[in-house]
Amino acid sequence: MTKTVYEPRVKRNYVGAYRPKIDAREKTLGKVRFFQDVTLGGMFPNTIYGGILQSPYANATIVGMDTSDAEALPGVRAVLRYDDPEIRALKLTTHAWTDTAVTPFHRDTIPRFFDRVFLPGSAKHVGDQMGVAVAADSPDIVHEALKLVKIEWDVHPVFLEAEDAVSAKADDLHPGLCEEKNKIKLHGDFQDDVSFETGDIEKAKSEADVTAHTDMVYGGNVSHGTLDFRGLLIKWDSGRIDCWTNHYYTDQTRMYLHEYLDVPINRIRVVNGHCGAHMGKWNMGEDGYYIIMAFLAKRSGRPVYYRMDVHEEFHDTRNLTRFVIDLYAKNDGAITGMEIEGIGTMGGYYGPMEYNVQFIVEESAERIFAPIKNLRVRSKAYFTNRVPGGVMRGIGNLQLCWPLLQAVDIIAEKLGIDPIDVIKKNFGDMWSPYPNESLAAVLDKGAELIGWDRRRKTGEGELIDGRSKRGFGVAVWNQWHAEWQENARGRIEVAFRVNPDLSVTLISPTCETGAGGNSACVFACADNLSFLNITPEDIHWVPVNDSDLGLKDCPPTDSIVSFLMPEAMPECAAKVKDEFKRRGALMLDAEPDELDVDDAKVFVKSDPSRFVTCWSVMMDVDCVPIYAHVVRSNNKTVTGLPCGAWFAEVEVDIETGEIEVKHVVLVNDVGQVMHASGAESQQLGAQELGVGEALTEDLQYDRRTGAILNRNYLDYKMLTAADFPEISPCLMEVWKGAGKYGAAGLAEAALTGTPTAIGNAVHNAIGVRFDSLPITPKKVLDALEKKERQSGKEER
Amino acid sequence: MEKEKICFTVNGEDQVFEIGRDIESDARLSTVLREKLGLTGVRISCEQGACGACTVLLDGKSVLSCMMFAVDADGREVTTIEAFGESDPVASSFIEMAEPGYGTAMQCGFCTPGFVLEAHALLSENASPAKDEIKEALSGHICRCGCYHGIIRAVENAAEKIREVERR
Repeated sequence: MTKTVYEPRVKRNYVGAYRPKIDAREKTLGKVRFFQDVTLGGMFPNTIYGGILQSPYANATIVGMDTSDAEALPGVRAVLRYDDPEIRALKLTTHAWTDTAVTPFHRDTIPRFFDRVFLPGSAKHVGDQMGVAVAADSPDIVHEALKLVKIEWDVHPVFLEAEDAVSAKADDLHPGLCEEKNKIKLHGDFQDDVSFETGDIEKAKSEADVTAHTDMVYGGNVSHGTLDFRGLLIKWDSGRIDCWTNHYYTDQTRMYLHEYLDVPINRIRVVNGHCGAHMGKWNMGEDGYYIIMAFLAKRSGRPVYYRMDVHEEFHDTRNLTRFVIDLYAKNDGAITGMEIEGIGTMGGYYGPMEYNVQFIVEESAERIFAPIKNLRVRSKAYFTNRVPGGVMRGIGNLQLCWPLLQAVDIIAEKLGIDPIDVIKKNFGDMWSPYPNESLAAVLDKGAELIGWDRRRKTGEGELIDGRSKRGFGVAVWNQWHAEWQENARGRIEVAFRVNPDLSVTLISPTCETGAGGNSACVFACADNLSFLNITPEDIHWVPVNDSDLGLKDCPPTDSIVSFLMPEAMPECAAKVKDEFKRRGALMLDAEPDELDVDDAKVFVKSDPSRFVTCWSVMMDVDCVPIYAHVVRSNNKTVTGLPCGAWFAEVEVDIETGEIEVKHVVLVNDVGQVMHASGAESQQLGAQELGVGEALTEDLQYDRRTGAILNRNYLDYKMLTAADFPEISPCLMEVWKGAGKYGAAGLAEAALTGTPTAIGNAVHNAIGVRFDSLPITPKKVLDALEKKERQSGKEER
Repeated sequence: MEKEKICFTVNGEDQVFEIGRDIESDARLSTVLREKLGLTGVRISCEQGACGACTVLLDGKSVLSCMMFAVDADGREVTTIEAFGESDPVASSFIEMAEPGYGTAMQCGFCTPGFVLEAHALLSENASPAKDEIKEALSGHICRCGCYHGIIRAVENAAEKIREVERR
C-alpha cells in the first residue's frame, strides 16, 4: 500500500487536516443514539408496533380479504386494509418524495414518477408492501396477525426482463401511465427513442479507422446493505403529528406528512439524529409506510413504532441498466463518435430510471466526455416484476462508466496505444480548457502509484505460481456535486451560537450518516472563528435535527454537507465579529467601525492597547449568547468539475477462476479537502461497494416466482475485513470551485470507476471481457473454456 | 426443570431476572441488555448472526448476543461496550485513528462497538496478532461504510499500546 499525504493548496488550521472525526469517541463507545434506541427508556409510553404485509407474489391482485381473525387476536390495536376509504382517497406518490427532491415540483433534483399507491391491492414484486397493515402490542403479535389475514389472490405470470415487458403475455403493470405497455414515456419529444443527438454521427461512423462495441449490464442485483434498518415512531393525536425517524432528511419528511395527511406544517414535528450508512436507501420509495403508520397511530391513539426487517431491506436495488455502446475512432486514438443505447429494466415501480438511461448520458457528455462531439443516444425503460431499482451510491455513473471505459480500453488495445493516452485525448468537461488538467493529474498520479509501467499487453502479463495471470486496468470519471450543481437544493442555513464562556454551539442541521459533514462543519467553524481562539474541541455540533427548532436541514448526500455548509460560515463568523464589535463599542466608548476582534479581544484598531476581552464582553454585561444565522444561496458560477481515476491490479487464477484484487489505487481531485481523514475514509470505504459489486454481491432471483432467494446478510456476500484488498487512496487539489473552499463531492464518486478498472484489469490478465457483474469464478472458468474452444476452432 | 431466576454480571454488576416476570425464557441476550438495562451500544441489525453488530463479551470471549438466549448467560460475565472508557487501549485506538492512508476507524459508527469488543477478545488471547489474524478475527463483522483499513490499523495500534504497558 502506498501512503500519499496530499499537499493542501491553502494551509488551514483545521479544514483539510488529518484528524479524528469529531464524534469518534461517542461512536466508538456506543454512546451515539440511533433510531432503534428511541423507544427505550420509557420516553414513549404505550408504544405499539406496526407491520405491513409483504406480498408473497410478484404479480398478483387481492380479490378477497378476511381480516376478522387478525382483528380478534388479543393485542391487536388497529388493522388497516387496502380497501379502507381513507386510504383509497390518498393520491398517488413517487419513489423520491422524501429524498433530495425539494418540495417545489418544478425543482426536482431527481425525476419523480407518480406510480405508487398507498397500501395497494395489487402486488408488482415479491415483498411489495401492500394489502393490509397491523398495529399491535408487540412485533410478534403483528406477525401473527398478518398471518391470520385470509387473502384470495388472483396470481398472474411473472416477467423479469425488459424484452418480456411488452410481450402479449405480460400484464400492463401501470395502465395509463406508460406510452406503450410497461414502457415509460421519457422526458422530451423524440423519435425512435433517440433522446439526444449532437454533431454528425453517421460521418464519424463512416470515417472511423477503428470501432469498439460493448453490450453490458450493471445493477439490479445489489443491495444497499445498510445495518441500521429504516423506520419511524409516529404519534398522531389532538391534530398534531410527532415523528422520530432515521430518515436522513428532516424537513422533507415533514413536507411529505403535510402533503398526504393534510396537517398544517407547524403541527408536524420530525426529529432525526444519527443514521447508519444508508447508501441512498432513503430514496427507494417505500416511504409510503410513513403514511400507513400515521393512520395506524391515529386509529389506535397510540404511538406506533415501525422498523423494517432484514427481508424488507432487501427489496430494492441499484437500477438495472443495459448500455449498448459503439465507439468510432481514428488511428491516432481520437474518438470521433459514440452511439449509446440505454435500456432500463425497472422493477414493479419507477426508480429514477430516466436519470440512468437518459439524463446521465446527456450530463456526462458535458461533464466527462465533452471532447467527443458526435453523439447519438437512445433511451428506453420498462417496468417488470423485479424489485424496484433506484438511487444507490454512485447512481447512474457506475452503470455508464462500466461499458464506456471498457469500450475505450478496446479502442486502445486495437490501436496499440496506452489506454491512459486515449483517455487523456478524449475526456474532460465542456467548461475547462482541453486537455483537462485535473484529468491528467489524477491519471498520472494513479499510474505512478499502481506501477502502471508493469502492465503488459493483454494476456502477456506475468504468470504467478504457474496458475495466476496478472493484469492492470484503469477507469476515470468526473467527481460530482460542485457547488454550482446544487442550486436545486435551495438555500443553506447555518447558525453559530457563541456562549458566554466562548464555547460555541454549531447548528448546521444534517443527519450524520457517516459521510462526515459534521466534522467538516466543526473544522470550518473553528477556522472561521479563529479570532476567538476557538478550537474544534470548543464547539458542540448539534447532532439532533428537530423540525420544530427552525433551521432547515441539508441532506448528507455525496458528502456535500462537508462544503456547502462551510461555505456559509465566513459570513456567519463575520456576523459574530460584528456583534462583538457592537457590544465592545459600548464598553470601549468607541464606534464599532473603529474596532476589530482578534486573539479573543475586541480592540481599537488605531490603539490596540485599548481592548476588552471577548470573555469580558460576554460575562460582564448580561451573558446573552451571540447568535449569528446565515441563509446562503449557492454560488452559481459554473466552474467545471474535477476528475477521479481508478486503477486496479488483479491476479486471476486460471485453474479456479478466482480473482484476487491485489491493489486498488484511487486518485480523486476534490478541489479542497475538507477533512483529510474523513475523505480518505470515503475513498477506502467506497471500495466495500466498488470491489464487492465487482466480485461478490449478487441478488439471486427465482426466475419462476420472482422471489429473491438470498435476501439476507448470510447469503448476500458483502466484503469483510478478510476480503478487503490493499487500497491506496490519494487526494488532490487541482481543480477549484467558486466558493471560499471550492470543493466537490467525493462520497458518490469514490466507487464510480472501481468495477470498471477491475473489469479492464481482468481482461488485461486473461483476455476475456465480462458483460455483467459480479465476475464470479464460474463466469471466469466458463469464459476461459469458451475462449479455448474458439481458439481451437480458429486453429482448425 | 426451568430456572425461575437467572443471574449474571453485566459490566461488573450483578443482574437478576425472574423468568416469566422480568424476561421471557426465550428472550435474546441482546434484547435484555438493550431493553432491560438500556445498554444501547449493543446494536440490533440482521438478527441472523451475520453482521456482528450485537457482539458482546461472555467471560471475555466474543459472542453474538442476538443469537443466544439470556438464560444461557446465567452465572457468567457479560461485558458490553459501556464497560469501556476512552482510556481503554482498544477504544482509544479506534477514536484516534487518523493516520494518513488509513482513513478513520468508523464512519457512521453503527457497527463500531462490535468491532471494538471483537478486538478485545482477540487481543486477550493473542497480544501480537499478525495482520491476517486480525482480519480473520474481524471477518464476522460487517462495516458497510468499509472502514476496514482504519479498523485493522486501530487494532494493530491497540496491540502495540497493550504491549507497551506490559513492557513497563
